Amino acid sequence: VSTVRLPWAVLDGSFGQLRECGAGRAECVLYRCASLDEPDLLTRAVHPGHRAGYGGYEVDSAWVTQFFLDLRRARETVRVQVHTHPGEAGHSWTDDQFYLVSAAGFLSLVIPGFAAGPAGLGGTALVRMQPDGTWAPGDPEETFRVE
Amino acid sequence: VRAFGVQSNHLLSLFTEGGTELDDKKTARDAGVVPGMLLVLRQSTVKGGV
Repeated sequence: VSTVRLPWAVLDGSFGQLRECGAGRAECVLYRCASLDEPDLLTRAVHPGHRAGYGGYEVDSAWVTQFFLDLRRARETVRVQVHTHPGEAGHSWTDDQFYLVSAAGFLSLVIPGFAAGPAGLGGTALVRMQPDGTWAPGDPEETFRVE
Repeated sequence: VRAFGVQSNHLLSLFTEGGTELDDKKTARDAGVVPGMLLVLRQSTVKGGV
């Protein structure tokens, strides 16, 4: 399993975005992207059009379609889905079923406490999609190299 | 689904560039699909929560 490089600016910016949108009372989601030419280097986090509440979020369907078309044009891919939970981090049944990308190696990271804590990987929960479409737990500290 | 190298998932659907989800009960012809048309294969619903 290859290590995914996570620039500090992308990590810190993600926390800022999640905190600002969720405002301590709603979940939030974003997608960390990479170039198809260098898929193990995350370059930016994209904040989707969505609606959310204390215990969940749903991404706008038209936004998803347009996002995939934009990624195709830009030769980019989404490597990591990132979203917050109000309490402890964990991948719920809903998270398991309604993720963004159906591809082996796709990562889904859950951040606890509406991302109100310090920016980092502490307390997060990570899963990785397997070739058969199921999810397997991953170690955030081993999967991401913050730089 | 296999042709695109994605994981089999009953929640996957085809969408037009305009964002319309194709009815999987219809044939491609009846759904208005024509050669050269760009379609997006994606999850029908994207959401999460505790």
